[in-house]
Amino acid sequence: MRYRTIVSYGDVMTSFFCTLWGDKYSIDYVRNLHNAVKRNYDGEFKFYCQTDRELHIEGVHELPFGKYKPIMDGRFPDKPKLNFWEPNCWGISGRKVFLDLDVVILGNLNSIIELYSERPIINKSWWKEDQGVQIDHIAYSALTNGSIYVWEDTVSTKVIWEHINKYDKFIFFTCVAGSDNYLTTFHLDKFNFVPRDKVFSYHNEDPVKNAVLCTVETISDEKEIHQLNSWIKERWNG
Amino acid sequence: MMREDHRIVFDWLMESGWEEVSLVATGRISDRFYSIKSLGINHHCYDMDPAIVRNDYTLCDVIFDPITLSKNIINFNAQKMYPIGKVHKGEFIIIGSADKHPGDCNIVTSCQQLIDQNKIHTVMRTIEIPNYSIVWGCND
Repeated sequence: MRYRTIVSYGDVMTSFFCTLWGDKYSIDYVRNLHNAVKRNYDGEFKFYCQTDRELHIEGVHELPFGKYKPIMDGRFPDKPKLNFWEPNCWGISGRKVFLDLDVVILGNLNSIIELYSERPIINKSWWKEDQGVQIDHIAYSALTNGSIYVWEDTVSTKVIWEHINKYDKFIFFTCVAGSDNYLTTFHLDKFNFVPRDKVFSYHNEDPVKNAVLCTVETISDEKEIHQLNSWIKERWNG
Repeated sequence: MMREDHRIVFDWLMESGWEEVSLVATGRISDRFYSIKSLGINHHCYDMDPAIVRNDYTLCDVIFDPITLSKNIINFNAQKMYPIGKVHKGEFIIIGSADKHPGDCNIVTSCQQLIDQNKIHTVMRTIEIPNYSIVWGCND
């Protein structure tokens, strides 16, 4: 299957991405994320979901998995997230934004996306820094929080993709917890970060006033968004 | 006093007849390992922790970096890396730990696990002591 190359210049077109596989999240997560982008992004955009399911959501374009499939072998559970670093993957170029399904968008996304300037942007687990959590373990700990990427295909993102391709079997074995361990260990110097005042982690810190993004990442037995009985679930539902 | 696992490895090294050895992922080891040249064994050390390395070290990751190791290799921390025997060939002494340190990606609970992971086809020695499995063998 061939994909039309979509070239965007400046603020003409932004491509939003998410990915859905397995049974952790329902299609509602994709629908809510798409609706949230519609409410909170000013500008022309397309919305894509890398998935093996038929979503039947108007305005959401389904993409097949790229090189890395969702193979659950107990290590590096989010292998398909690496596909987004492939230059021109699915024939899509220009400004790109990836969002995890377990984020709740609270404010105008443009205030993060328009910070992009040549270096890819990624979220940071600011709370780990605040709480002095040790992050020098390649296997499990990460400073990055890949709940959002903002990027364009550049020389440095090409370097990331080539590194992934060259060392994938080592990476998948060594970085047990996944993509954030990998990006923290090998590519931290290539990123800018979502500013501290625009994001917070629901399960790990107090809400940040006027934040744009709330991450509801679950590490052990924390509740997923749909299981919460909280204001954040109401915001998620729009 | 030398750690029990390191003492065993040192004793095996003395028995080995090796004239050269690469000491990999050493972490902090006894000075006795650094003095083996006086016993007729040339060595070079490899570790990726800048806090560890000395003049006789190469600061690197022996899995990811293009390093050529000696045909004789001691890996002190198999629990922290991709199986070295899948990347390098030769005669190995490998220590793996079941301690479950937060940085350990490859918890080692048996000698058989080390033998299988590192494609060891000829086994000279094995020993399991609390928290450590140690194997001496070849995969070339």
